[in-house]
Amino acid sequence: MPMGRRYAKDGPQTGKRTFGRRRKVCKFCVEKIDFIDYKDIKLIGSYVPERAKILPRRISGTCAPHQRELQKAIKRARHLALLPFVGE
Amino acid sequence: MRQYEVVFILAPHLSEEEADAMALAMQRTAEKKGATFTKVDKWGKRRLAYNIEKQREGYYFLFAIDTNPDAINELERKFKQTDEVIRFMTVRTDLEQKALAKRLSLRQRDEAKKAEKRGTAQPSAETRDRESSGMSGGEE
Repeated sequence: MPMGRRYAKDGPQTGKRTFGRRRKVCKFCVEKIDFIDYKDIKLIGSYVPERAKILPRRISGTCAPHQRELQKAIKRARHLALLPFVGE
Repeated sequence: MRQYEVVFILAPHLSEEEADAMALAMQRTAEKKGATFTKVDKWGKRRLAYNIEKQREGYYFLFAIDTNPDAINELERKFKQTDEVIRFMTVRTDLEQKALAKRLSLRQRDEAKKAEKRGTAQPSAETRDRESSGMSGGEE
């Protein structure tokens, strides 16, 4: 079963399948955020869903260097009880 | 000289004045060891994301300090001794700042190069824009 995958409007291009989904881009690269601050809970919090696990790159589309920075910031924020270790 | 950022949380059973006084006392001990405080930030009483020592709230304080490691050691020793400090964290920031400055300069160089490729009239204005927007990196 084609799980949610579909061809783009103009159909397959040169044998390669094009998926309807937009390619994810790293938010930090686009907005040119070089330094991810552990105090900025508003920003970091969006990468920590309900269960309080760190959102994987595969889902958020964050690039590897920025994911590492993000990970560090989240862990620091957790230590200071700004973010939870476990969610509901 | 190194730069540090120290965040610590005081127990909620203190009154606000007591918490302030305690934070000030901490600052004094560090200053005695030759620390210079560049920023003292009071976040006030905040809800904790999880319970620490059975407390749901705490007074948050942030110090930005220019100092040698001695003062930090002393400060951390003091934190451990004091029961009212329920959590603290020290982060060394000067290295991060350095890395950040490097990344910024690299990007500026890259963008200048890119702009050069695109044409000659456009880029000069663009780079000027970026410089004026300063450290924030600037958005197009």
